[in-house]
Amino acid sequence: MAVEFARANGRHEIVQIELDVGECCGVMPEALALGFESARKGTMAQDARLAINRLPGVARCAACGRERAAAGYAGPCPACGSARAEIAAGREFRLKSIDAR
Amino acid sequence: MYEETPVAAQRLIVERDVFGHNDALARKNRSFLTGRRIVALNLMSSPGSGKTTLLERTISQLGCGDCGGGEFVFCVIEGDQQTANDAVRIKQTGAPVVQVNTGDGCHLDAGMVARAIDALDPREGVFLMIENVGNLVCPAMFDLGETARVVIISVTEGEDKPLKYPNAFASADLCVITKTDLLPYLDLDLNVLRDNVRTVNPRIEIVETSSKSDDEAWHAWLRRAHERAVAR
Repeated sequence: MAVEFARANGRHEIVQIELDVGECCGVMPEALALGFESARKGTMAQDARLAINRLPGVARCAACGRERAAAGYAGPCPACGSARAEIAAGREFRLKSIDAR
Repeated sequence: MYEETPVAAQRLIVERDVFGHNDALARKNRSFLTGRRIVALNLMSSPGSGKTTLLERTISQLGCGDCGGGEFVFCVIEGDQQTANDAVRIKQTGAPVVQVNTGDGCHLDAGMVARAIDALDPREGVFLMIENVGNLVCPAMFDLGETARVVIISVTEGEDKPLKYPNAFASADLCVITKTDLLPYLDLDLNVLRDNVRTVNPRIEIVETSSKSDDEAWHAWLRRAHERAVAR
């Protein structure tokens, strides 16, 4: 994705890739970094730095509306015990920016 | 003599959702399936819970594939890392089936399902049974464009699995508990298993099946799902 974008903008070398990774998006940053090591080889991003912004996860209780911090599975609401929750924040998995020349 | 200064790298804003590709394909699948009033079920479970056996039994009881003699018509997408074993089993029932091998992949995604749907070209009002790769972790994260999600767990797997693998159960519409004929040989308390399922997902429906008894509750759920689809 980053390489395509760089090429489309007339760049030939990526120096940094910036990602937004929410705490509820199912992606593990360590696994992502490991995969990145392999995936960048032989591409214009082969020496690129990976910058990950960890965005906090927030679950909102569907029964009482109370919000709580969440990472991955939210568990029951600490206020009313309901298991029904909506993920209000933290689902992001986004290529935010690239630094390229 | 001159010094070349390297061109400075510039920040280019991208702001593109990485999962967007799968979700866009899933939406396309869903739109196609809704248009043909097809009930697409994403069947998820651990390996060995009895997904394929349940499918074989259901197809032979409620339908006979494309031969037009049963109550419903079933088409099947089989997902496994390797082999076409499950597709071969389903073929024996007469139902049209496509095998998808994911290789190193641990789940089906919307792109694989889109290609399988193309190959099957399912007719209006059929059931499209998508048997996902045996895995209680990853399939929960990938929208295939299905009508509903069914999580299957057998009585030999233990009462606490819904708590250990909450995403699969939380994202499902129906939980099928299989192999209940083995209960006399096990220490499992069915009520505890059901309670754990409902703890993780209070709105989920639960049915039980076994190859030694009728699957009436499962059949009733299928009929309701079908009615909803064709009523659209």
